[in-house]
Amino acid sequence: MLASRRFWAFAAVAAWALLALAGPVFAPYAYNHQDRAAILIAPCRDCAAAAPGTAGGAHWLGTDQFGRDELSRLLVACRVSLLLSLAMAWAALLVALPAALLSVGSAAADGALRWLGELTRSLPWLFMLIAVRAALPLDSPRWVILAVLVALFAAGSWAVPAWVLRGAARDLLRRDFITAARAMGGGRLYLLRRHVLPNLAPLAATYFALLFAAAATVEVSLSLVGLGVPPPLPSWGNMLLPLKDIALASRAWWLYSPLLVLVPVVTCLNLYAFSQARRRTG
Amino acid sequence: MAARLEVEGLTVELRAGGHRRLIVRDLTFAIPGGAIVALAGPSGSGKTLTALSLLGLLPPGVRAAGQARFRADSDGEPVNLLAAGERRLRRLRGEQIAWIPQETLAALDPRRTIAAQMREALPRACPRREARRQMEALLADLAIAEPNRCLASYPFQLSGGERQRVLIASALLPRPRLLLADEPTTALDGSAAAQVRALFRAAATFFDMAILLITHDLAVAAALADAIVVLHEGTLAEAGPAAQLLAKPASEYTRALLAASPVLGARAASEIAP
Repeated sequence: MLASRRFWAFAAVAAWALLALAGPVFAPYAYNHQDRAAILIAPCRDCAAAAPGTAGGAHWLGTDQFGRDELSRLLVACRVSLLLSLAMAWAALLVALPAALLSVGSAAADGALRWLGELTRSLPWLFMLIAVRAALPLDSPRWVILAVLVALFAAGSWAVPAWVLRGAARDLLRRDFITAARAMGGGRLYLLRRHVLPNLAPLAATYFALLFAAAATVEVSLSLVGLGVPPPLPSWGNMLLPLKDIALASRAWWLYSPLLVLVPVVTCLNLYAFSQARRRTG
Repeated sequence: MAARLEVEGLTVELRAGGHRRLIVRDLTFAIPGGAIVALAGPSGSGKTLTALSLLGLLPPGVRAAGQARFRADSDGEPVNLLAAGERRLRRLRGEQIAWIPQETLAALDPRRTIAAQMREALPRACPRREARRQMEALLADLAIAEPNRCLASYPFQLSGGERQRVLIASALLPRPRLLLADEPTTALDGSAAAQVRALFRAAATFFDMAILLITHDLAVAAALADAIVVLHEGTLAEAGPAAQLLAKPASEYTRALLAASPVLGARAASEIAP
């Protein structure tokens, strides 16, 4: 049962990865193509009859407030958001893992990282994010905003995984096979590469999935404070942004379409993390 | 000729939160090259920590004092293992001084194959094929039926006896000058244990290896060792050539240990009976 759940979660994530890579190829319109004659039209009932690509043509998922095709934007947004979340999760793990190993290696680093971890967990992140956005010039290039987003996510979410990985690494170093490997003449780097990292990998994979899921939702939330993916490039976050407007949120139901992808992706990632953790603990 | 290992006044002490406990007290013994010396005593008498102190791998909070002079060659400069730095010890571990751990499942990395872990025992420069050949040959010598299958396995796929022989093979592979064998035959059946004993004797004789055999069972010591050191609550109860010590135990404790051994106890009883 668990094995199959794990399989399905993995298969679903793989399918979305494929969608992210190949999806834009199937987009009927360019993501930034505006059809001024078709602003905020609902998904058509007889799309098959209308010819796509022409003015007033088929819009399977309707159009947004600028007359852009929702389906085309969603397909591109999948690529943007999945890649961005991947980068955010990697960045967080790349801070957490070395931090964990460092704190196992030296008592001084352990103290310092513990203190830093407590600090990051007690900061009022929402206000900090707004402050960061305020400090950035309005016309910052897209890559600066994306880099800031990745860095902020890493800075805000490394502490918990680092703490857990540190504990696991400490347990690991007390195991007999580490002593046995040292008795065979293994040095520090050797132990790290051949015994510590491979044994930490399943736990790191669990946290990677959790961070990936968190990153996807964080990107959506940060769009609200202007730190998401800058338009016109679509992302799940900035596609949902127009729903800030009550009138749109209550009438243009098709603008919720990113949730069709976001919710299953996040759910599958969490499921994967959960089954991985279950498997690890037996 | 100086002995391969001379332990003099070895004291192992546990310090935890201001509390001190002596685990091994003033232990002295020597192992010449080519000889097998048994360190016998019940569980908790400090046998394993004695071996770990020689490797410089004592757990946190445990400290060793005294002298443990190790000579790779009979005319070489001795190294005091208890005072040597980590870098010096690391060069000695594995190639000069090897250890056979007691806990067979815990001592093998669960996520790596036996082949990958045994490979660690050989120098990195050793060619792949040559390493493979040596590993297979040694496992076959240890009565492993299918060395290839064994090498491709993960530790959990093997029986306790197979794992024990893998650990023995890993320790013997680099042909160390000193072998610290911690209960090496406990998980083995009679014939496999006999094979391991034969291999130990051959290693001692042909490679001039010095072997410290750690055991709680005097019968194991009697079957293999040239000399026996009996440890009781961390202190030396008695030491001497195996035959002499078993025939005429001087200490009360050795006599009790002998009586507790099913094999030797029965033999002693039959010798007493007319």
